[in-house]
Amino acid sequence: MTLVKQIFGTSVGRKQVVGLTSLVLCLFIVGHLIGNYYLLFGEAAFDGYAQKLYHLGYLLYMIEIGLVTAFVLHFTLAMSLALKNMSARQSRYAVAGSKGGATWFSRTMAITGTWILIFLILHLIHFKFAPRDHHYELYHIVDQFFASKAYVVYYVISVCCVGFHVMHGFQSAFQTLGIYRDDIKPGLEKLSVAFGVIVAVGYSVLPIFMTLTEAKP
Amino acid sequence: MLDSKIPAGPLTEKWDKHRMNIKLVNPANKRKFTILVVGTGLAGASASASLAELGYNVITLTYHDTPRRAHSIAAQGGINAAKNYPNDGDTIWRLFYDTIKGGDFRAREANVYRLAQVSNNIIDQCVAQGVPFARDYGGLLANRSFGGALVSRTFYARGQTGQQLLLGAYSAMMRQVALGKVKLMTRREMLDVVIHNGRARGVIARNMLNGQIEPYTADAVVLATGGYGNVYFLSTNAKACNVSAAYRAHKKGAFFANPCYVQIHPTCLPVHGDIQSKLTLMSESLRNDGRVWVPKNKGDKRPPAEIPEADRDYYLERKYPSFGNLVPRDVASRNAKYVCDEGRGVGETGLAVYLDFADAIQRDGEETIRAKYGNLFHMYEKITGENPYRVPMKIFPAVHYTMGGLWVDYNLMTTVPGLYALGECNFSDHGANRLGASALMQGLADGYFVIPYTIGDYLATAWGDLRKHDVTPETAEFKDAVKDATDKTEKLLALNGERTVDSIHRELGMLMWDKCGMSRTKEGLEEAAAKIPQIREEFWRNAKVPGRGAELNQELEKAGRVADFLEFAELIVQDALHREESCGGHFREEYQTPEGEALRNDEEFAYVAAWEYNGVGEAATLHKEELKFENVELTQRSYK
Amino acid sequence: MSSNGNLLQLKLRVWRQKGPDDAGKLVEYQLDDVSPDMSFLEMLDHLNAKLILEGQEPIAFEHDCREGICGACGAVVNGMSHGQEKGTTLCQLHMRKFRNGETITIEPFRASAFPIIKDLVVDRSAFDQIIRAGGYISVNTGNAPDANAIPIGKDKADLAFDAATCIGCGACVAACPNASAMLFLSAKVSQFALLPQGRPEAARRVKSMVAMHDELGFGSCTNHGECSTACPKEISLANIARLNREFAKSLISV
Repeated sequence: MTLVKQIFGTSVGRKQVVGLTSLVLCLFIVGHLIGNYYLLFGEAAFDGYAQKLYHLGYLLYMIEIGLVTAFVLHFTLAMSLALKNMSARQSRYAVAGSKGGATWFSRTMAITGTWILIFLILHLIHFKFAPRDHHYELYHIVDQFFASKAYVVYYVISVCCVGFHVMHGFQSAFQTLGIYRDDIKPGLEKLSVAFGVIVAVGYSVLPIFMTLTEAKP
Repeated sequence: MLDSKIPAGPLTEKWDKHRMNIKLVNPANKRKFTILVVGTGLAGASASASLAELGYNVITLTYHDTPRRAHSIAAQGGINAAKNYPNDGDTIWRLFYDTIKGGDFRAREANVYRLAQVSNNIIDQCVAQGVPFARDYGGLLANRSFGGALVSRTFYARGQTGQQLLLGAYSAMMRQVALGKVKLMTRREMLDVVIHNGRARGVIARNMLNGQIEPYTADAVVLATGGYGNVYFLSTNAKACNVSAAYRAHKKGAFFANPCYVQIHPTCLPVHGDIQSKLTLMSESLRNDGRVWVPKNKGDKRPPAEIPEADRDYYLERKYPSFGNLVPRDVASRNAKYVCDEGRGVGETGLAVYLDFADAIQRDGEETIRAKYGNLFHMYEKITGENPYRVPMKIFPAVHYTMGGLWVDYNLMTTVPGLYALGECNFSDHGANRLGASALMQGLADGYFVIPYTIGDYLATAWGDLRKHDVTPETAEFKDAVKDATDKTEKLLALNGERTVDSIHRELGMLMWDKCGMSRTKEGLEEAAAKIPQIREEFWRNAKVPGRGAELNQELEKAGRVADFLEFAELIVQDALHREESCGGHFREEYQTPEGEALRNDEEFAYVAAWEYNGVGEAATLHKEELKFENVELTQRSYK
Repeated sequence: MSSNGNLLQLKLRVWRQKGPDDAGKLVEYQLDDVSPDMSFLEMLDHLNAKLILEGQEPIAFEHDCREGICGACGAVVNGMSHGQEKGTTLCQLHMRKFRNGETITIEPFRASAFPIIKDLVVDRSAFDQIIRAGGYISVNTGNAPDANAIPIGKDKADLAFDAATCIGCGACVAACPNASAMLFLSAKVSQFALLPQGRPEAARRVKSMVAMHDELGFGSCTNHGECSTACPKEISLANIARLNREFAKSLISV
C-alpha cells in the first residue's frame, strides 16, 4: 500500500488528516479571535492591524494557501467519512437509546461543519473580498456589516456553530492522533468545552458590543 | 481386550521414544492430505492450526457463527503446568502423580505422563501467541494454587483463562485461514461420520443457515466436539453443547468409554427457579481464599453475619485438615450434598453452602481480592443481586465436565481407523475425576502437541490404501449418510405434539440428576434405566418441532441433539450400573468407607469400560482396557 | 424463587424478520408471568415456549454460554446494546431490572456489515475477517522460547489483558452512531501492540486490519464513545487512541 493510499484510502488515515488539519484551523480561530479585538480600540487601531497583515506579503499568501488547503482537506475528508458512516447503517433503530458517550455536539459535527463552510464562504465575500478603496480599510466594512441586526444574529449563530464544532472536535483530534490517557481525558474534555465556549462567546461579543455602542447616538 | 498401543519402555521415555519411532509424512506429501476437524474449542482450534502449519489441508467445521464462541471460552480458573516457577517443588512427575491420583486411579499412566510433559510447552506456546497471563511486578508469570494440589502451578488470566487461551488458538487458526491452509466452515453441524473401506473418510454436516445437508470428504477425521454434560439439562455447559457428534461416531463403531464419569463442580450458583436455563460456575480458584461453611445446627435461618464462629461448621477444613477447602472437586461436591441432606443447607431452597471471603478480605484487603477475582464477584452480583464483598457467596454443585468420552488409544485414535477424538470429547487423561485447571491443559496438549505427530503416523501408514480407495461425495457411503441425515431431519420436523423439546429435555435432565448424579444407587439407576425409554418414546410421540428445514431453525437443532441425549443417557446409566465401586465422579452409595468416602474396587474395576453400540434401546457390549499401574501405588485417595 | 405476587407483566415489541430478504417488522407480545429472577434470555425462552405451543414460530436469537463470555448473545433493548445495564451482556441482564407494566422493544444489532439472518440473529462473520487480516502473532506451534524469557511489566500485561477481554459480541458496532467496529479492531491491535511478542508485526498488522475493517463496510470512528459504554467488557477508548497511534507509526515505519 502506498503512503498516499494508506493515508487517503483508509478511514483512520483520513480521519487523522481531519484531526491534524483541525488543530491548524483551531490555531487560526484563536489568532483570528485575538486580531478581532483590535476592533475595540477603534478604526485606526484595527485598520493598522489589517495593514500589518497585508504587509506580510508572500508570507501572508503562504499562510492563506495553507489555511485553504487545511480547510479543504478537513471538509472533504470529513464529509467523505460522514457519507461512509451513513451507508454503514442503512436500517434505523425503532427506538433510539444511548448508554452514554455521544453528545449533541458529536452527533451534529457534519451539520455544524456544513454550516461553517457556508458561513466561511460568505464571510470571505462579506469581508475579505468586499469592494473597497484600500486593502486595509476593514473597520468601515465591519461596521457597516454589523449595522444590520439580521447579520448580527446570523453571525452569532454561525460562530456558535464553530464553538459547538470545536467542543467535540478539539478533544476528538487528540484521540484521533493517538494522544490519550485515561487520566488526562476528563481534563481534555473540559478544556475542549472551555475552548468551544471561548470561541462562541469571544466571537459573539464583538458584533453585540458594536451594535450596542452604535445604538447610542 | 482393547489395545491402547502404549509404547514400551520406562514411563518417562515413552513419548520421546514413540515420537522417534512413528512414521513421518514427507513434507511435500502433506499437502496431498485433507484432515477434517470438527469443533473449534481449545482442542479443535489448536489442532487445526498446528496441522495446517505442518502443511496438511485442514477443513474445520463449527456449529457456531464464529470459532471463538466454543465453550472452552468459559473456563475461568487456569491451566496447569509443571514449570515450577514458584520454586515450590513441582516437577513433571508430581503433576503426573497429582493428576493420576486426582483421577482416582482410573486414567492411563502413559497418557497422563505425556500430558504433564507437554504442559510446559503449552505455556511457552501461549505466551508466544500473546496470551496475557497474569504477571508479577517483576514482569514474570504468576501462579496460583488449585484444588487437589499442594503446589502453585496454575497459570491464569484473571478469571478468564479459557477465553484467553481459546482466543490464542483461534488467532493461530485464523492465521492459517488467511494463508489458505484451513478452510473454515461456520454454522455447520456435524450429523454423521462416514466410513469407507473400514476407515473414517469424512462427515456429513447440516448448513444451519439453509438446511443443506453437505458431505465433506477427507483422509482423516478429528472430533473435538466437547463433553455431554448437557444430558442433565441444567449444567454449566453452554446451551449448545451436545453429545451428537461423539454419539453418532459411537453409532458408527467408535467405542464410548466411561460415560458414567461425570464431574459435578462444587462451586456453582444454586438453582433458583423452574424456568432456569443453565447453571453458572464460579471458578474453583475461589476456594483458594474463600472458606466453605454451613451453620452447625439444622434449620439455622439467621443471616450469615449473625451466625457466630462457634455456630459455624467449616466442614471441609474440619474433615480434611491438610487440604481443607482445596480438596478435589468430587470430594467438595459430595460433602456439600451431605450437609444439605442433613438439613444444614442455606438459602431459600436449603440447597446451598456459604463460600465466605470475610477472612481473606480482612487479611489481604479488598483490593487484593478484587484484583484476583473481580470479574467473578462482579458476575455473582449481577446474577444474584448480592454483593460478595459483604455477604458470603452461596454455592452448590452442578454438572460441569465429563471425563468419559470416545475411547482412544495412545495416539488419540478411536476404535475406528482414521477417526480421532481430542479434548473433552475423548476419555483419556482424567480418569474418574478431573483436577481443576487440567481441562485446558489437556485440550491444548492434544491439539498442539499430540495429534500433529500421531496423525502423521496413521497417514503415512495408510497412504497407499487411502489413495487406492479414494472417496468423493458420490461414494455410496456418503450418499447413504446424506440420505439418512435428511430422513432423520424430516422425521424431526414432522413432530407436531404438545410439548416443547426443552420440556422433555428438562424431564430427562431431572431424572439423570436425581438417579445418576452426585451419588447413585443400584435401585435408582435401574429406575432411570426403565424411565429413559419412556421419555424417549414421549419425545418421538409428543414433541413439537416448528418451522422448516431449509432455514435457520434453532428448535430443529435442539431436537436433533435432545434425540441423541435420549439414547445416550441409557449408556451412562448402563455404565454406572455395571461399575460396582465408587471412584471419583462416580459415587455408588453401596460402596463407601465407614467415613463416607468413595470406596474403589481395584481388584475388579481397574479398567476402562469401553462400550460398543448395538442399536437403540439395546444394551451395549462391554470391552475392557486393563489399567496397569507400574509407576504409582494405588492408594485410597486421602486429602485429610 | 419469587412468589407469584412479584411476577412482572410486560409488553414486548420484538423485531421479526423471516429471512435476510424479508422486510421485517416489530411484533407485539404480552407476557404476564415474568419472574424477576429470570435472565433476559430466559424470559425469551419462556415466550418462545408459549409461541411454539400456540403453533407460532419462536423468536430466533443467538446465545450459548449464558454467562457473559462467549459473545453469542446480543440485541438492542430499548435502543441500547445488551440493554440498559453497563458492563453486562444480554444473558446477564435480569428481569429484576425492569418495571412491572414496562414496554420493552427488542431489535437486532443493526449495521450494514452485520446483515440480519432471521429475527434477532445477525451475521457477524465480518469480525472473523478482521482477525484473519492480522489479529494474530505469527508463531508456529513448537517455536516458542521459554515463557519467562521475556519479562513483561505488570502494567503493560494488565493493559493488554484488559484489551484482550473483548468477547466479539458486536455491541460496539450496534451502539456506534457510525456502525464502526473500531473498538473491536483496536482491542486486538492494542493487545498485541502492548506486548513485546506482538511488536515485530505491529505495523503490518494495523495497516492490514484497518484496510479490512473499511472494506467490510463498517463506518469510521468519530470518537462519540458510545462503543465503550455499550461494551459488556467496558473496553476503554484508550485502545482506539492506541490504534490511531499505531496507525500513525506504521506510516513512518519501514
